[in-house]
Amino acid sequence: MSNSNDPWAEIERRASLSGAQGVTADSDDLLTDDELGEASINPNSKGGKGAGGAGSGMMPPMMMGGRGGGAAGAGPAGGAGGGAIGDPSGMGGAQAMGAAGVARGMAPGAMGSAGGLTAGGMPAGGLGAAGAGGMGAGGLGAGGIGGGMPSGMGVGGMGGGGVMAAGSGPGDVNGDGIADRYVDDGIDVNGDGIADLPFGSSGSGGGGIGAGSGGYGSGVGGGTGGFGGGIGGGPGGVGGGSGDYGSGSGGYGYEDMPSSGGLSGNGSAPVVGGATSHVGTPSPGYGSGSTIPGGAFTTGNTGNGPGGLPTSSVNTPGTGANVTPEGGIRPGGNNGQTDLPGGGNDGWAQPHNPVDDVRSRPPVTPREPVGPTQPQEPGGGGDGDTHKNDPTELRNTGTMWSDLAAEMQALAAASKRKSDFGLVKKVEPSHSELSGAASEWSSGASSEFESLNGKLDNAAGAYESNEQDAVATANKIS
Amino acid sequence: MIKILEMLNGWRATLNKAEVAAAGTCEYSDVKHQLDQLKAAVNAAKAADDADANSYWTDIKSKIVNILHYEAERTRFGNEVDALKAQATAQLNHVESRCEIRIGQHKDVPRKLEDDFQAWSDNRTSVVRNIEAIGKFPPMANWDGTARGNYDTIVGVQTKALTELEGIMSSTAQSCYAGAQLNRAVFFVVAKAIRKGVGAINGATGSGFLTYYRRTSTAISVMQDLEREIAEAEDGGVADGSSNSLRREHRRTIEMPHLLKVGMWPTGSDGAAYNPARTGEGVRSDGSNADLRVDGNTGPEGEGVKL
Repeated sequence: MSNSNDPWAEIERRASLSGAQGVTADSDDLLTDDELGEASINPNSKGGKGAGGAGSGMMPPMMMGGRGGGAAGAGPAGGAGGGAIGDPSGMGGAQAMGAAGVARGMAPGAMGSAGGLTAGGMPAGGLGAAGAGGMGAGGLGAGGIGGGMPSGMGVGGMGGGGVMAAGSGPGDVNGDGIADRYVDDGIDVNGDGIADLPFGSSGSGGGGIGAGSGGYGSGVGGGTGGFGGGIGGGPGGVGGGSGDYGSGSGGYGYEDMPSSGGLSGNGSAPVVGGATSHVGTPSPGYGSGSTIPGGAFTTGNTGNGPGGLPTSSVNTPGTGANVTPEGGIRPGGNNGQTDLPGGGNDGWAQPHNPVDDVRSRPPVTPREPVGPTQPQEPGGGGDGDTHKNDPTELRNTGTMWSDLAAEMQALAAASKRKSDFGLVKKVEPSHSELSGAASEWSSGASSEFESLNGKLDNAAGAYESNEQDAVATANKIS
Repeated sequence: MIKILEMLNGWRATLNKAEVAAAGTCEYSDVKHQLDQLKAAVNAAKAADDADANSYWTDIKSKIVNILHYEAERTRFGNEVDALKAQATAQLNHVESRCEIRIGQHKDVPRKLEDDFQAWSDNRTSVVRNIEAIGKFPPMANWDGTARGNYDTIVGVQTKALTELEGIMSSTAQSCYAGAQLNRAVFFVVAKAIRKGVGAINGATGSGFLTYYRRTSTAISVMQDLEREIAEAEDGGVADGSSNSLRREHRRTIEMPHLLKVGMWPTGSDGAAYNPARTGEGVRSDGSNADLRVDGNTGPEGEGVKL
């Protein structure tokens, strides 16, 4: 177990070391709560080190896992960033890509260039919980920080670079130089077919920290990519790390929900292989898009783009050359496409110390949704479903009720019609009673329908408020 | 005596098909037409009686040489005839004015009630459309468990309540239509009564031995009956049976709903366990729930004027 009091300091320390993979040596291959910001933020989350990254985060209803959730994090984590030129072989797990539960779509795959990655890095904890969140896969300097940092709002993306692609092996989890493989209940590192390590232990150096809706990817030490897969829009990952660059990408947004493009990639000082700057271009995220710059690398990038799920790992040292991963570059966002993650890669050069930010980042407690609760879907894997209950849709449904309320009110007024029964006046009182009751009932229906509209509107507002809180929190970090 | 008894279907059973059809479309103008016929019949009766009386006096004057008190007798007879004819005229005026004022003032009621029927039918259609609209609302796809169930239950309750309201609207519309039909039926009954009276006057026995002005006397008697019948019609008495039946149906319709209580609309899951009551069958104007029977005659023959 890592030092629970100050894991980040340990991370920083270990970042300067070679061969270190985890927060502490005894946790090199393990994923602990220390790495999982989510764990402290959302104790209800099952995500993180759960098997196969299948933990579920407590997402706000409309953010629950779903589309694209698992798709996040498929970006190649390779790449060299600042810092020392990474030894490709040393990238180890940094090559890993993809996130457990990749459902479809591509990972925006922040292409952090991990300069001098010698070791895989952090298990991509919290991946599962990330659910819809993106996953940053950035290289770390030495020993990056993994760890999803989902806000209470869902999840964000996660840092965590170097997560194995779905279906792939975990890489060399224990660092023995032999590829390990998944078996039931965990990872078999010694080849006996029996799980030696739990799921989630795998992965390699990661950098970014996803957060909330809108991830925050950061690199530590080395350049990092990482992108936060925002849901519904938050900033993408912020590639952090001084002297390096990172990349971020917009997270998945849901239909009708803006998704920010990547707010990513920074890294001020160009170093070997590092990017000097990244000019972001507006990169609407998945969904309706946003104005947060994302964009593509402009210089010195080692592959970038959330271009699709790479077919092979990218393990190119950052030399400043533009190397495009096989997955391709996908500049900018997807402008609301439904099956693709928002683009938005990279950002701009800017010194950044994500560790401090992470430390100072307050946990975000999910609000109790008003009204019906959302199912907690397993994280880690988007199932390709489309979430329907976003605030806009709730409001739309509420508007329908409101329209009906107006019609019923009109009916109530029309039902006040008094009838003259002429030669059979005796009928009039009972008829008036009947018609009056109909009028009252129509009015009652109107009130009830309007009430339903109000409840749905409140629910939508609560969702949005949660989202805004998460974004605000992420912005504070970045 | 003409009476409308009990319920509409009884009335329909009593009338022949032609009369049922006529009653359904009867207007006050039909009554007015019969009044004109009555006026003509009364005048004709008086004229016929005058002719008979003049013939009598001519005849008696030529055949009876020595008639004592001839002039005095003729004067007496003439006075009685004048009184009888004045009475007939007065009675005709009573019938006519009563009909015009008490019945004629409602001449537009059937049409207005039919408009109301249409309005309530439109209301019902709106409710149906709203029910259909709710059915097309998007489900809360991602709400599940209790939340989903609660929402669906709430929607279900509202749909059921609207279904009952739709029935209420339908019954209210039917009530209006029944009211229109009853008014028309009253018109029809009044017109029919007058028509029968006209027939009685026209068919009244002429002068007999030492009896004259039978026609005029019969007309007076007929019109007295007509005035009573009109009085009964104007306060709905001729349709009491139908009115009471309709009122019972109103009460039953109000009490029928399972989800709707007077002054309250179900909220939340209230009434979720109930199926909507068939409130649309509370009032029906097709004759199955109403009964209006017609019976009567034109009254006794007039006694005439004794010589």
